Parts: sequence; C-alpha cells; structure tokens
Amino acid sequence: MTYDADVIIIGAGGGGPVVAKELGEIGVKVLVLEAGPWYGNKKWPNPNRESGAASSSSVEDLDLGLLTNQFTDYEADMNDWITGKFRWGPADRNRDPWFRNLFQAGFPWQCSGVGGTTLHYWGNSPRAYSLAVDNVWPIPYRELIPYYQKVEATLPVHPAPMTTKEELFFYGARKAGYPLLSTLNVTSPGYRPQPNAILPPDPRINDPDFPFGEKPAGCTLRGHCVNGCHIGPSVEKVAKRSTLCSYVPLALKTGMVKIRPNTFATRIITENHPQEGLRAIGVQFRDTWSGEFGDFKAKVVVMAAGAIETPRLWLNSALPLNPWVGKGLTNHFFGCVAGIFDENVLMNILGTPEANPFVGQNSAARLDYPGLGFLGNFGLSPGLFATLLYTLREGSYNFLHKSDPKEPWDIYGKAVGEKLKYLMSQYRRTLSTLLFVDDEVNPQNMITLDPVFKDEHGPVPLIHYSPSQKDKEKQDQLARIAADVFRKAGAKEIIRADWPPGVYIHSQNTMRMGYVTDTNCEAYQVKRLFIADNSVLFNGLGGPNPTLTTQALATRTAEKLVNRYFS
Amino acid sequence: MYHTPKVRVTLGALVDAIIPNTPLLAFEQGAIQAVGGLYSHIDEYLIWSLDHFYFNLTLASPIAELLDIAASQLIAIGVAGEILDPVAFSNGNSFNALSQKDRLKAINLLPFPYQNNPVFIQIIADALDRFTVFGYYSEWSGYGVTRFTPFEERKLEDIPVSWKQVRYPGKAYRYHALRGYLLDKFTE
Repeated sequence: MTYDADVIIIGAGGGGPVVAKELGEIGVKVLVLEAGPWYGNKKWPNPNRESGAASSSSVEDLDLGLLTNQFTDYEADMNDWITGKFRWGPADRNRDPWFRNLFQAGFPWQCSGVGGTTLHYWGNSPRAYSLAVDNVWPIPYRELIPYYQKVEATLPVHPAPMTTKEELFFYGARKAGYPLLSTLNVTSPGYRPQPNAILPPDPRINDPDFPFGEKPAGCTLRGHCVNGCHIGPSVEKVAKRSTLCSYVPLALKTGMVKIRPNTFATRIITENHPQEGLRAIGVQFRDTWSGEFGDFKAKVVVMAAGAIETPRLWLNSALPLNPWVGKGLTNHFFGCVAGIFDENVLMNILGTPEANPFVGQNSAARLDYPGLGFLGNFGLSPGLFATLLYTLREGSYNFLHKSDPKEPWDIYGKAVGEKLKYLMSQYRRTLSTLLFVDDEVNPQNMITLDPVFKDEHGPVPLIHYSPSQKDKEKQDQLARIAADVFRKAGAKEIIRADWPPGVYIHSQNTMRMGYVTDTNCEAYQVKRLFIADNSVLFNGLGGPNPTLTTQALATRTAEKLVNRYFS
Repeated sequence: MYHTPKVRVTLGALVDAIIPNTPLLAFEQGAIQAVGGLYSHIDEYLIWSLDHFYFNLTLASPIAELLDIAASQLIAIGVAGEILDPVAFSNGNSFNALSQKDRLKAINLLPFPYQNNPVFIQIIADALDRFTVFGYYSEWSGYGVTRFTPFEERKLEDIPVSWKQVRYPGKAYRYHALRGYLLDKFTE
C-alpha cells in the first residue's frame, strides 16, 4: 500500500497540532486535516473568498501582516455565530455555518480553522484537580505531571498579569477569607492568577514612551484574546498561544508535518487485518470549497476533531458499536455572576473609578474550589459581555421574576429593555465571573446522530446535556461564593445569570479513556485509531479548563503511539 | 433579503422591546442614552440572522407570524395590559400593538400556543434575545451603509451608538495598565 503519510491527524484545534509536533520531532511523517480556514498563511491570502492552495508545510508561509488584517478585533466580524471568522463553518462566509441540532436552548461555541477553538479561547491553562483524577481516572495524576510540565514549558504558561479587574477580584477573594494559592496542583480552595498560555507583557509596558511600534513580544493588555490575538513580532511569537501560533509553527519546523485546511473528514477507512483485526488505514474527506471527495491512507489515524465531531465521525463511519461512543458528555454547566460597583468604592480599592472589563487578558484571575469547580473572572468587549451576562438565561425575563430579598443577588433572570440599557451603562464598573461546575459524567448526556438533519458531511450531531441535581446544587454554591466575593469587595448590585445548560464551551468526555479507548488513547475496537481531543478525557477534571490536560494527554499519546507502531 | 413590511414591523417591535428608546435614562445619564436598537437598524441584523442560523430554514417570516399569534393569545387570555395601537391590531400586527413589556410577556409565553415543540420555541426565544443584544453592542451597526456589502468590503464608518452608551473606547493596540503580578511563578 502507498501511504500519504505515516499518521493522519483529523483536526488542527487544541489537541491535533500537539500530536503533530511531537511526532514530527521524532521523524514521523504527518498529514493534518482541518475542516476550516487557515488565517495568517501566505498560501491563503484571502482565506474566506478563495480556495487557495491545497496545503502548507513550511513555517515560512506564516505571515503576521495577513493575520493582523484578518483578525480585526471586531466582535461581529470575528465571533458572530453565523458569519464570524471564528464560527463552526466552512471558510466561505457566504455559506451558512455547519448545523448542529440541540434539544434545548443554547449553542455549541466552537471554531473551525487551524487553531480550532483555541483561536478564540482565553489561554487559561490550569491543570486538572488531582481530586478528580486520582482513583477516578484509569491513570493516576502523577502520570500526567511530566506531560503537563512539557506543555507548560512549550506553550509557555505563565501567571497572568493584573489589571484593574483582577485586582478587584483578588481584593474580594481576600476579604471573603480565601488564601492565595501558588501551586499548579490545587487541592484546596483559594485564589490565584490564571495560569495562562499568554506571553507576559514587556516590563516597560506602563512607560508612556515605550515603543510599541517595534512590535515587542508579549501581551499588550488590550483585551482581545477572544477576538483573535495577533500581537507580537511574528506569527510564532504572537502573545496568546493558540495552537495556530504555538504548536502549529513548531510542528511545521520539524519539516515532517503538512497541514491541509478546508478538508472535512467524513469517514474513517478501516480494513480487517488477519493479525490485528479491525484497524484504521485512512480517512475519506471532502474539500469544503470544491465539494469533491477523496481519501488519504496512513499507518495510523488520530481523531482530534473535538468532543462533538469525533463521536459523530465514529458513528458516521459505522465503526463498531460501543455503548459509550458519544456518551458521558460533561460541559462544566456554566453560569455567570457579576457585580456593579460605585465609583467611590472603586476609587478606594483601585485608586481609579473603573474596573474596565475591556482591559487586560480576558480571563486572568480565578478562585479554585476543588469539589465544586471554580470561578473564572472575565472581561470582554461589550457585545460578548452583554450576551454572556444578560441574555443567556434558563428562566424568564427579570421583570417577570419576583425578587427574593433573602437571595444574595439583586437581579436574577434575563435583563431586558430599560434595565438592560441601565446595566450596560454601568459596563465599565462591572466585574464578572463565570462559574465552572465540577459536573458528573452521565451517559444520558450525549452526542448522537440526528435522525432528520443531514448536511454534506452526513447526519449532523444531535447534542443533549442536562445537569444532575447535584450539578445544580454545585452551581448554586459557586454562585453564592461569587456573590459573597463581590459583596465583600463592595459591589452595590449583584447579578446572577442562570445559563441554559445548552451553552457548549467545554464539551468533554464523549469518547472516554477506559470505555472507548485504552489508557494509551487507542480505540479498543479499532487498532491504529487514536483520540487526542477533549472527548477522550475521563471526566470534567473537577471543573478546570480542559485544554492543558488535553494537550498533556496528546503529548503522552504521541509517545505511546510511536512506541507501539514506529519504534 | 426580501421581507414583507409585516415581518419587518413585527421583528422591529421585538427589537424595540429588548433595546428600547430610553428617555428616562437619557435624562439621568445624558442624551446619548435615548436611542435604542431600531436607531441602529438591529431589526435588519435580527432578520438576517434568523434567516441563516437554523439549518437551511429561513425563519424570520414564520417567527414574525408566531409572535403575532402569541400576542393575540396574550390579548385573548387577558394577560396583556392594553392594546396600544388598535390600527396595528386590526391590521393583524398584534405583536406591534402591545406595549413593550407585553411583547416580552408574549415571547415568554411562546410555548403556549405551540406546545407540540416547546424545545424549538425555547431555541427561538434564546436566539431572539441573543442576536438582538449581540448585534446591538457589537460593532455591526457601525458598518453603516456597508453593513450588507460582502464581508471584506465592510468598513466601520461610525462609532456604534451602543459603544458611546457603555463608554467602550473601541479597539486599542495596548493599554499602559499593568498592575504587577500576584505571583512570579507557580510552584509544583
């Protein structure tokens, strides 16, 4: 058989490029297939208008000038769910996004494109809580530590810098009695700077004469992590370490990795081998510009298409029945709490009358609470800020909700009308936090194939997640903790947003290690088929953001894969 | 994008309820707070979004119809305060005939006449709020006359009025805003 590569990796998001870089460094030839466009690459000067080249395999193709023009810092241009550059859809923005069906209000918030959802992630890179791994996962926490260390050094990960919003959050956390945590391995409650995959600002950043025109390396505290970072002297030195700017350039530098954007994997090709049994031998794909189908052959296939598309691809490939494929979805059952502050309170604490949610890294402070989850302080440009805080609600409009003076929040329910405009007029004096719940794995929460809707890539994913009673109680406790922190900091009004459970930001566990794969992340039922995305995580990590753990596990999977098939 | 005046009137009435003109807020905080979503053409943004967000169905027109039916139900069951615009009501624009608060109540009761698929109604109710608010507070209205030109040709012609209302300064290359570090590095 002639092979197109030793290993095909499906997906250039948070996990795939990590495997590509690790394999490339060992001399394994890799082909990465990515469904979406490639921004900041000379081979696609107009990535949303023209099909451009077929693939790129050279770091010389990366171009900061293009990236700067393409990442415009505008929210609708970048993050509109339907037409934004960071949407789940084809490169051609004149075409509709790829549809996923939900049986509930909400939306899956994922991006296609080289970099995947790390294109708009906030760089938060905490480790899992050991409490959620030891004696729970099929591998112990200590097994992950060397891989965490390798990823933390490679990205790299640093304690996030403080601006006003972080200083205010820490002030409240201290007043509420929590200790500062300095460890990467959190075992008890406390606050700390986010471990962020963002290059620290130049130490001269506060100097008014500092020559930013020279494009120094490092974050400039401009608050556009979510709208696409392009700050730095070159693509590979861009401040926010999306895989587009970290693992992808490193993978290309090995000279062994080719990445093919605009290529949607539609089927895993298998054969029955007399010794190995059923095994993966390639991938069928569809070119998203021409609509043509083709296939590539390889010795090993790695699925890294994310916790929604990886099980969809398994199911659409009619791979063997496994009752856990697609099952066990967790999503950190998000919620949101905010506080509005008076000018004089802010003056006393910060020496300035505003908290300014648009300044600084989008999320740079956290309060960890193993057993419950964590609070992630955040600030955003106003469109996304208003959306996350005031429109996402399980319940009804605020004015239809009777306020309960015994509750620690003043506003509960969707803000609308004059109230919404009043609240947004307080934007610059609002401090907000997301609630990340340590939610339980439940096989009733799942990705299946939609029986009705089908797109050009087959039946679309049908997504369902509903939190358990215990998950709801944990969210409620986290909301009370957040309200307490904000009240202690001096907030005059507290807002609680009970998001519908169908807002999918941290989808995980739909192809779990120990159920669908072995501890090397190779599928039990299909040899030479590995998984390297959030789907293979055993659980929701106790609440922490999943990217770092997925990247650590992907590093380990690359090692295991080489030992098994290429040594 | 072609829609009947009725669709535009009904979805415009929705935008006007979610992000209304607010003279009182303007009185308290300054004239810039007076205008709302219709001034920024968010009805157009909403209609376009509703026609493109759900598989390949164009939903603006059926949703407008649904809002009018829900409004009629609200009137029929006696929940609506009063019909503010009898002419609109007699023309079949029941939703537009209601007060802003009653329009929102109608959305809240949406599953009521459509009990065979309450989940779909929830998805729509969520989309109505989310698209309207995101459209309004994002840069979209600033594209002015280029707002429906091909994406690459859009230009930010004006500062969106919403940005002025929330005092968002727009994009910046950097802020001299560093307040130090709580930790220099993490420990194992």
